[in-house]
Amino acid sequence: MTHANASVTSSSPSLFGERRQRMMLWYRRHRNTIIPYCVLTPIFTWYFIFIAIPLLFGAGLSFTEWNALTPRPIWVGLRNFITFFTSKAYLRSLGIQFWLGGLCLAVGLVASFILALFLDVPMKLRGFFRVAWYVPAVTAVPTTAAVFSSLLDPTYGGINGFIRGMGGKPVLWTLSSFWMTFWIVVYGLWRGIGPRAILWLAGLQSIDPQVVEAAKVDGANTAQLIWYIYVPGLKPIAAFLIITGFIGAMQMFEDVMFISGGGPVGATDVLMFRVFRDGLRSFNLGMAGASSMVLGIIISIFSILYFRIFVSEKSE
Amino acid sequence: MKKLSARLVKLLWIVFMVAGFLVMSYPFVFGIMASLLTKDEYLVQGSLLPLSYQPSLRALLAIFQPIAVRPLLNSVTRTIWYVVIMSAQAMLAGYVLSRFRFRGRSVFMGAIVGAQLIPGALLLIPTYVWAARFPFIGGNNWRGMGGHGLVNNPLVLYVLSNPGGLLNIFLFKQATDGLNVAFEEAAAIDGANFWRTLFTIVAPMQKPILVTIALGVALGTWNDWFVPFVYLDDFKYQTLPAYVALLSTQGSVSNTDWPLVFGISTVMMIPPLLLLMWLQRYIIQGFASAGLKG
Repeated sequence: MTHANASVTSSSPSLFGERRQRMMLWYRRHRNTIIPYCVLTPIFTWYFIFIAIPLLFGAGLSFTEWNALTPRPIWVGLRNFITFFTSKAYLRSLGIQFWLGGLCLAVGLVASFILALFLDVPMKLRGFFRVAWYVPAVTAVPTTAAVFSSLLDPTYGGINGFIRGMGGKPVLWTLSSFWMTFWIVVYGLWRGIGPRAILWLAGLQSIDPQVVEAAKVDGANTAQLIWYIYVPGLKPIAAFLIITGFIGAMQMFEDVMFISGGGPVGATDVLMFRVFRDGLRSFNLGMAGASSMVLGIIISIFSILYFRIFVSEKSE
Repeated sequence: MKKLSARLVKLLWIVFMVAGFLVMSYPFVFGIMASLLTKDEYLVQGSLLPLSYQPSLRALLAIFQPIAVRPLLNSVTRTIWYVVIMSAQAMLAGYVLSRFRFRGRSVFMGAIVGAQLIPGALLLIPTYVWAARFPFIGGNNWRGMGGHGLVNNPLVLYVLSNPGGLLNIFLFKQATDGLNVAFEEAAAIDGANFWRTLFTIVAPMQKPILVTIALGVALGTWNDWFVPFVYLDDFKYQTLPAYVALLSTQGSVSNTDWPLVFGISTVMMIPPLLLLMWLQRYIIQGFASAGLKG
């Protein structure tokens, strides 16, 4: 009896069962397409909404004049770009972005390399120091920059308090373009030295000590060792640090915003900070769009360079 | 003679490293010391190492008081949300892209790599405008008019995405490429479906890369001041770094409650510090892999 029942359900399926079976067959045949698309469609839609759409939006924005209050932007063609390249203020900010960002990058690269040389010495405590120097990198910018900006206040700040206590003449830090630049570089150095030193260290340790020994046996002097073994061995890391560092330097503005606020009289007013103020404080969206386009094009050239060197050959 | 010079080098090394370490840790020490003062005491002292005569824990405990507990809760929920959603999407998409061969796969891969070329500078302003005009959200109609969209809307803390998230997909895909497929084939023969294979076979073996991804997201979200600072005015919706940024930049230097700023800052550094000490290997590895192997 039970046997007969079982044969009924399997040998004479209903219309619904037949369709289901066909669906299962179809699913099995196309499984390798259905699963990926079910997974990837929602995820990539999310990225499309918040990356691709703003990108297109931004490209259009730079050719318009808009304060976000009126319903529609006004098309002004290339006028924003003309303003950018004819007004001294914007070009100066672009120059400061290069100068200040470049300075932070150069100082950071050299200092982190020296630190890496120290961390490479086989000592008991180096594991501790390696982590310790990394600590500033895991802190939020506003929290640590607050220490700097508070210490640098000419009247209430700790540094001038100390100088006064020693009988010296207080320095008007916030009114001196030299000192503001100096402290922004110091802050950037302090915060970024750990991760860079770790990368330099990885480069140093990737050089085979046996090769160095062999060269020494063959009579190579220190200069030759550096030039023929260390420089080629460190080249990939150096290229990586310089290119990604430059991309970061061309967009840096947090340090400036929290330490100097662009001052004194615009001496540290990097272009990215101007984009931030134009776009999100005074809602001059067209100008902000045009400025960020100029920065974006400069950065993209370096990004493409970076991909040429590091990604294209490895992902194949 | 040689022994002596070796000892000298050792001594120099220790002196240099300890001196550097003291300079490096000074801002933290200052922050902790300053947080023990009262607002007026701090301004009067103006010292490099402010010592309180009546130390109070007011600023250090402020994070649990009404003055800063909302930002703390927002920071915690936002970090947890992004860690979960970012790890999950990296795992799912990375796995699918690594193991399935389907039409259009190269388009997805191209989009991931291409998105890494987009500088953040280009997205900053238009993302804000787009968020303000986001249709059907925050009182907006289908044309994005009439309301404030995602601006001043707490939803903005949880919905934005950036090209870095796509990089996580790439990292998981690369890691899975290096994994022997035999385990998954054996599971499939035993009747395991897609989800079962992913969660019981692949995920446990991919723990290192998942921890790396989750840690990167956790640190990045916890320390992100920009999104809440720019998009949200209401105190209720702030996160800790944005709240600190508000406290320290609003008003003049003499009006700012610096001990409060340093108190909140000091306490909010504790979770990243613990993560760094506990999982340093993954943080450092992740930093290196994002750049070099990526």
